[in-house]
This record gives sequence, structure tokens and C-alpha cells, in this order.
Amino acid sequence: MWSNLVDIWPFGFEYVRKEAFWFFLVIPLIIAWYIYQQRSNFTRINFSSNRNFAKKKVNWIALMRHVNLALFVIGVSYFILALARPHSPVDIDDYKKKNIEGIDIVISMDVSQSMLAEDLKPNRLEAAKEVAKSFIEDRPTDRIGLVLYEAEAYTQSPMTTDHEILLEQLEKVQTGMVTPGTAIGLGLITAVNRLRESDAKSKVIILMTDGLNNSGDIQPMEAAEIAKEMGVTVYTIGVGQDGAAPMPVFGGLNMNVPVEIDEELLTDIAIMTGGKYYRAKNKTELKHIYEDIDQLEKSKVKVLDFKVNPPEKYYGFLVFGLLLIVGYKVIDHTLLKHIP
Amino acid sequence: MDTKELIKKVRKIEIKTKGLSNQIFSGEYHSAFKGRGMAFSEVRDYSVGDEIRTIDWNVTARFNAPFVKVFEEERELTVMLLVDVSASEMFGTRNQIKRETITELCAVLAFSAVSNNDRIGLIMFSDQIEMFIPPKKGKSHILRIIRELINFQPQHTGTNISEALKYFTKMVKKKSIAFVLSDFMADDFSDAIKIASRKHDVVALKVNDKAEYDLPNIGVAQLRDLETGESTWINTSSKRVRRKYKEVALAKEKEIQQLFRRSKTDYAEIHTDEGYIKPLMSLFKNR
Repeated sequence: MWSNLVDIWPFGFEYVRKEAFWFFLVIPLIIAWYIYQQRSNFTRINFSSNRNFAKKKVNWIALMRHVNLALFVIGVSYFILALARPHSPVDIDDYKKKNIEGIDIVISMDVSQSMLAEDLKPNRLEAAKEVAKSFIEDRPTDRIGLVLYEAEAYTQSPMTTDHEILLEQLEKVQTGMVTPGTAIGLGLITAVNRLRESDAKSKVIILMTDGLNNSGDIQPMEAAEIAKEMGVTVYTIGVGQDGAAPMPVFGGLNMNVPVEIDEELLTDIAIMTGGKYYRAKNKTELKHIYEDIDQLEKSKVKVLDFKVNPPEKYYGFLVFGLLLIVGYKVIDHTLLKHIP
Repeated sequence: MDTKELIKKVRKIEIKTKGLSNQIFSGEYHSAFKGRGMAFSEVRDYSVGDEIRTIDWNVTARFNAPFVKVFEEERELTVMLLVDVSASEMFGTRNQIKRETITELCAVLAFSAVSNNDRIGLIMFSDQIEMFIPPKKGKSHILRIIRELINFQPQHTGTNISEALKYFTKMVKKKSIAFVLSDFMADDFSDAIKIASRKHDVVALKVNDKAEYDLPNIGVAQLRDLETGESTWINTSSKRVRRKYKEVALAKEKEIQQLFRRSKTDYAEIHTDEGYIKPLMSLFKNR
């Protein structure tokens, strides 16, 4: 609010109620009244002769009166500007970020040992984190959550618009936190669970994996079924190049491990929930995939873009106008106090 | 102003000033303005101290007791009132505006003149001659003069004293007494007053309001010059402004006083708030 008080240069703002500008017609009236008063003999004191007054080039009092009138006029102008409800265009963006109802996204990320494979540089996990990070940064209005899974699934970050915390949480992600394995079903269902309470118009899960479903109580297709029931769109991403991928083992040695992705399953999940399956063979592709999802979901955000009602900026105008008018009155009644 | 009101006002001034001129000023006026010749008035009993040469020997012989002749000076003076009716006279901050004070002064002088059997005339001027009433005797004439003074609306606002003095010397050929009643806020009139006072007996009555010397502290004010109509903003709260103003006003005052002295013109300074009896008395006494 204090910054609002200082921000009073009137030209950087947009005005909601432009009709209020009609009030500016008052200003010529004020000036006309001032001139009328200036001209009329009513406000003058008859004096026998002004001969004995020193002749001055500039009559400071007359000048000060003009200046004082200018103060008054500017004060009134600021009142009118305040009526017109000013807000800065910068504010609108900021406001959208905070208040527009975005969509809910849960990124469900596989963090099994196999994510350390180095077919994506520097490895799958780091690449995925990096790409996810830029994805999050590009969608400031959405609530985004992060679910990680190996043989078990857990929520790294619930859905939040506080993306700074989210990115912090994303940074902390590493492999081998729980029992090794790949429970795609659990990962999916946990993500779905996070979206259960959501009342967003569009709910999206980005499910990322690099292997086969080999553990967990819940079959991926069952989870997909539930997701469909709840109106969640699932985009599935298979990570890993064709054939085999180098995997670090003990002692800095690399071992080529075959890449097994259940593409059929992932495609089925995607199709069932109205999403799409992608295959990321390298980091660039992964990035493109995220961009693609970003594009697909962006159009929905626009639908959600309801009428903007940004925060008012009028305080500064009102206070400044008030100060000027009070200043005018004070000067008029002290320095320029005159009869009548 | 309707006639009834006018008559009332004339009456008021008459009552106020007639008493003054009968009681206070009669002797003073009489002796201040003497006529030329001496006219025989009466004879009365000789009393100790009378000059021997005033004894009327014919009467003394006839009554067998000393009688002296009493002479009265010949009056038949002409008194002219030169009255400034410019707009600046319509100013006053105390009990009267200057024009009212001048009107009363004129009435006093007129009644004094009529009780001394003098003729009285009137010239009203602004920056030109507004009205001329030729000198005459009689009470009704005085009342007319007072009426004109109260009711007259000048056509012009400025002040031109030399024009008035020139007109006066041109119109009145006989030596006369001229009272110039004005605030003397005018352009230079030294030549005209010198010429006029060579032939006539010119007396200047300078009527001023106190605010013309001491600006009252009334804050910032837009003062309008009554004569030119120009307005100017003056900060009367500033001591410097008031001091400067007073300096200028007093300097001009001094200048005019010197001019009067140089041209051997008698003058009295009258302020609207102080009454005019004292200055008039001292003027008459000092002549």
C-alpha cells in the first residue's frame, strides 16, 4: 500500500472508469470562476490611490495565487483520476498470476535407480528435473504438485501456486529414497489422489517413467480407470533411448542396460484419459514434450480467463489529491489570506 | 438619493455646521479674512483707552460728552470653494469618507462666509471642471451649494488640480479667497498654484484618511485604485511593505507642504478621523 501512495505519476496507468474523465469539465469551470472572481470588483478593496505603492515587475502575490489555484486544480484532477480507478498494466499480469483460476497439474516422476541412466544428459533424473523446472516456471498461474515413485509412491509437494517452494522441492529430488522398483500404478494413483479434492476445471497428470511396472498393489490400468472417472487427463512420457542405455555402477564404471518401456500400457493410459503418450529419447525431445503439453493446456487456461478485477491504485491519487487540496486551503487561509 | 433624504441630509449638515461657524469660527473667520476698506458703523461713548484720534468731535460738541466713531471693515469678500470630487475622495476608513468631510468643511466655510456678509461660489472638479456655481450671497444659495455637494455625481474619476486653478483664475477676476479642498493626490500643480496665489488668497485644505499613511494590516488584499481602476495585490501584513508605503506617502506629503510654503499658500491638514475644528482654528489664528 505504501508503494501505491508513492506511485502517482498518472500516465503509466490504465483507467477502468474512463467515464469519470468527464469530470475534468469541472476544471474549466473552476478556472472560469477564478477569472470571474479576479475580474469582479466585489473581491477588491477600493483605495484612493495606488500611486504610493512601489511599482514591481512581478507581483508575487498575484503569481502565488495562480500557483495556488494550480495546486487546487491538480488536486481536483487527482481526485478525478482516483475516481477513474487507475491500475498499472504491470499489476494486471501480477494479478493474473495470483488470482486467475489455473489448472491443476501433478507431475508424477519415476525416481527409480534406472533414472540414473545417462542416455539423457547428464542423466535421466537431472534432465527430467531441469525440464520440469522450466515447465513450472512457464506456468505461473497453475497449481502444480509433485509426486515421486519407486516401488512406493509419495508426495514430494502437494499442489501449490507457490512455485518457489515447489522448485525447491523439485531440486531435492533424488533416487533411492524408498524401496527400489517401479510402481507406475501407485505413482499414478497417488497423483490422482492429490487431484481428488481439486475443483479446477482441468486436471492434468504428467506421468513419467523409464521402465516397466514391476511392483505395487495397483495396476496402472486400474489407476487410469479412476483417473478417467475423476476427469483427469494423463499425459504419459516414456524416457529412454532405443536399445540400451549406459548406467553407472560401482566404481565409476558404466554398464549398458537395455531400455524397457511398456509403451503399450502408457499409450493406453493416455488414450483412456484423453491425454497423449510421448517418447523422450533425449533431453531435447523431453523438452519438446513438455512444451507440447504446455501448449495443449494453455488453451484451456484462456477459457478460464475470467473478467479481470485487479487491485486498485487509487490510494496514492486520493491522498495526493487530498494533500494538494488541503495545501491549497491552508495557503489560501494563511499566506494568501485576504479580504474578503 | 431622493429629495426627501437629500433635504434631510442638507438640514443635518446645516445644523451641525451652522452652530460651529456661529459659535466657534465666527470671530476667527472674521479676523482671518479682512476686507479692504473701512466703513463707518456708529458712534458710542468714549471709554478709557480709546484712541484720541477716533473721537468724533462734532458729536462730542453736540452732546457735551466724548464720543468715538466706530468703523467696521468693508466686507463684500468673494469666497470660492474649489472642491475635488474625483473618485479618490470616495474613500474613507474611519467615521467618514473624505467627500463627506469635505462637504461639511464647505458648509462650515459657507455659513461663516454668509454670516460675515461674504459672497460664496463653488467649483467642483475632477480631471476637468465638473460644475461652476458663481459667487452669490444668501442662505438659500448656501443650501444649494450644500445640496450640490451632497448629490453631485462626477463624470470623471481623475484629479487635475492645475486645471481647476487655471479655470478659477480665468473665471473670477476680482481678488477673492479660494479654499482648495482636496487630497492633493494629483500630478504636479505647482505652477498653477503659484499663479493663482499671486492674485488671490489661496488656502489649501488637505483632507486625508489615516489609511493613506498607515496601511492597516488586513492581510493580502487586492487594492483597486479608484481613479484609474487598476488593481494590484498588496500584502499588507508585511511590515516592510507598510513601512515603504508610509515612507513614500510621507515624502509626498512633505513635498506638497514645501510647495505650499513656497507659493505662500496657507494650508491645513485635516484627517477624516480627527475632526476639522482644531486644524481650522489654528489656520485662522495663524493668518
